[in-house]
Amino acid sequence: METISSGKELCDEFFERLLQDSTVDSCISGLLHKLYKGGELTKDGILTGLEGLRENGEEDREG
Amino acid sequence: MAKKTAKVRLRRLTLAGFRGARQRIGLDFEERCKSLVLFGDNGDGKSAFSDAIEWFFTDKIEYLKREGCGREDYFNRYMPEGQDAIVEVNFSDSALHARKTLHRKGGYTFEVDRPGFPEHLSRSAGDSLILRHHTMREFVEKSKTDKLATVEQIIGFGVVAQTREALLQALNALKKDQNLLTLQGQREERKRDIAAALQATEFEDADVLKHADELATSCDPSLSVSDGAQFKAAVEALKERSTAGERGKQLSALDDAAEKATVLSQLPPLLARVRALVVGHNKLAQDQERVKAIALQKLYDAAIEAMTADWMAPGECPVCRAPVDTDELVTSLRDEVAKIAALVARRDKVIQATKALSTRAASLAQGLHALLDHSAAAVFLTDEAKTDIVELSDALSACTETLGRMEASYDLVEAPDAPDALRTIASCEDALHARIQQRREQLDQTDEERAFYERVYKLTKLLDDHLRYRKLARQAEAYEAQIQSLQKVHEMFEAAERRAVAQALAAISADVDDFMTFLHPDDEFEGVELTMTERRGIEFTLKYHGEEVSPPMKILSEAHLNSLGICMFIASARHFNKENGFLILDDVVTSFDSGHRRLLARLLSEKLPDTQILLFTHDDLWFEMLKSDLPANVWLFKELIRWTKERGVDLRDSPLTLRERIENCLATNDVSGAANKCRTLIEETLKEKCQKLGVRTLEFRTGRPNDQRSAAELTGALTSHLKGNESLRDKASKRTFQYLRASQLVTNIGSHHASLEATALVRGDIETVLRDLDNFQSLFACPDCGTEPSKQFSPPNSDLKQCRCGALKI
Repeated sequence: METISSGKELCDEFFERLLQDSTVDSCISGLLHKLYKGGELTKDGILTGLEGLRENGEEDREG
Repeated sequence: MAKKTAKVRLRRLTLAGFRGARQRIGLDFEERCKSLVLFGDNGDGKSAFSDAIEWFFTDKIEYLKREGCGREDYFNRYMPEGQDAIVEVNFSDSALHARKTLHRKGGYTFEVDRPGFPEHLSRSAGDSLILRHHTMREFVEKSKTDKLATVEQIIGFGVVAQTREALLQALNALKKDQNLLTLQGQREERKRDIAAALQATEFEDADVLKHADELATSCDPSLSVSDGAQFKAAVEALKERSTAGERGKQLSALDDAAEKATVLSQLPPLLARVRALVVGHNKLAQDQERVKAIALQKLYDAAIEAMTADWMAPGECPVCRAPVDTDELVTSLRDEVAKIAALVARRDKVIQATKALSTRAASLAQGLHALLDHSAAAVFLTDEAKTDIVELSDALSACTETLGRMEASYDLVEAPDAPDALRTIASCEDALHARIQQRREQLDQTDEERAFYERVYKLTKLLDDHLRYRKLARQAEAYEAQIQSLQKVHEMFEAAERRAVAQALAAISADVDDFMTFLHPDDEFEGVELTMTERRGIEFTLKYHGEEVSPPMKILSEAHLNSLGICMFIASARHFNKENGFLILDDVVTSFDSGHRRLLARLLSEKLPDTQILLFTHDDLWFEMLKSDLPANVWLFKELIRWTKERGVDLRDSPLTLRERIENCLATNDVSGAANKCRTLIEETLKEKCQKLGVRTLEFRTGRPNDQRSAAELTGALTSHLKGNESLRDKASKRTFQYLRASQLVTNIGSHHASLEATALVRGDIETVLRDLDNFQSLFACPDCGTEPSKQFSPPNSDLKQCRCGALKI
């Protein structure tokens, strides 16, 4: 019988691959990977993380 | 690598005080955890066992919940008040033994021997264990979207759905982020200002630097602007020069005040646009009937799809099934959907306009405050003018509030009042500009000086606007880049999910097709599979006479759809049940004919050899067939004794023959039960005789139609077949046939009218039926060898059938 990935296996594999995907902004893929691994991949978790990235980006430019 | 553990089976299931079970009652599956066929008439309590398993694993009984029944209905209603209900399960793994008690006072508790059970219970959450007659078609009849949701649940993709939803919700929230909308609005304003200064519609940084270079050179030919740093340096140098003396400072301040005063002329058009937008919004809001119909758009779309894709019988309403003119209804619904779409499009435009005006209003409010706070302008504003500006600022706040309400809902809103100050604003601005001009003249400003200061002012403003524009653009682009990235991640995730679901569907489909072919070998459909639809959903497809058909309702009969439901359940359980190696099929063959019922039993036995099956049925004919078809070393046969309120559910090992079961009924004074079984026994006896003797009418109608024959039809066919037979033409034989017909009538009355006093049978009636049947049987038995004439002992194609020794010929 063919082995079918479980939901968790699918997500694990997806976020690991995302880290290696050069077509996606590495900051975003890193953020999503970190949130997923920490069990915090929720709408609010993602939005807070993205806001942090924008602020850091702005500080870097101004700094 | 961790050792793969076998799925657990049921060793024993015990109930007390739960549903139909009043006294303690147990199903013992023996040391080998055998499969079971449990027979019981309707109302004898079969479902108490499936209900108990469902409650044990999930804390609820879903079909009862849907009927409005709660935990109080789980208790046996005849047991003493205050007594708790118990469900106890022993598994093949003894470490998992657990007893669950439903307390009268509320709640439930588990008692376990060892600590492994909670993990087993939690891991069992995704297992599909029970299929009931009334739920077997649920999956087949679900919408495409719900089918996908169900499959994702079955295959344990809950976490996948959650992750997808989180990504999508974050993406949508980011797109609608108010901060982004404000940034975009302000960016556009700065862009407009720069474009106006450059007298161009579009521009690049190089265009801004070129214009700055022209302005700077015209002020001082030694200056040059070719990059941002030079731009800043030129502005600093010229500002320093223009404000070097007190007169220069004052002239520069006057230019700034004149620029700030331009905000006043921008207010009337903005307030007029807000009022016009309110009128447009209120027109939409007045069409409340259609606004409410927006909620029904999906239903309308689904109804149109159902009717145009021929899912429904023509002339039938897809919602209430009342007779309708389908073409007329489709046209009318399409018209309604078009009107709703137009309303939604107008509403979208209103929302876009409210957002743009909100940003503009906020910007002008800032401009008014800046004017009031400006040192030079404040000097030239009269007290009345200052009061007017405050009033206009309040009017802008009221506009912003109204715009917010319009964006949030379809409700009617009141247009903001036009402030009195609006009438005097133009003269106020003119007076301000006149006073500024007068002051310039007092400062004895030459034309050359005026031109210089104007150019310095323009250059300074261009630098401010450009720096601000670049910052706003950078911030908005950061958002937009994140939206793009998140969109891409979401799409990639959906694609990965689709691939995985498609893989799971392929596995399930292969089994469903295999099982359907097994159950319906002669039917003209094939290639049953579950496929992803273009929108988020899945649907069955199959090939009928080589042509693809979807959904299956188009061509499949009720029995076929039931088969599909069973096959889907078994296939998904086979692939995705992680913990438990048992399945309960509770009365699922009611709509099957005997040919397919037997095939189902064989399918379970052959295709799921490693699964413990619990088959519950009230069909005693099928029960008898199963006893012959299923191997006794792996199957148990038990039957329920008639339910009583004193005892509740009770059971016994099933006797091997139907005759023995009739005698058991008589022993417990269950006359109607005995009559029912007698009817089955007579039918079975007649069918057996017809088959042995090759009764043609019967042979020509093999398969499903045979199963629907009544005993009377069989007797007629047999009598006709035996018409010319010498040995059965004597009076005694004819009388035996006649008595059997009478017994058929008696058993029909007994089994169908058991509740009528006037037709109630007594024990003696049944005993007579059994004697008649014995006499009938004896007509066909050879007195010498004891065997019956049969095709098996007869020459091929011979009309006469003989017994083994040849002494008896029929």
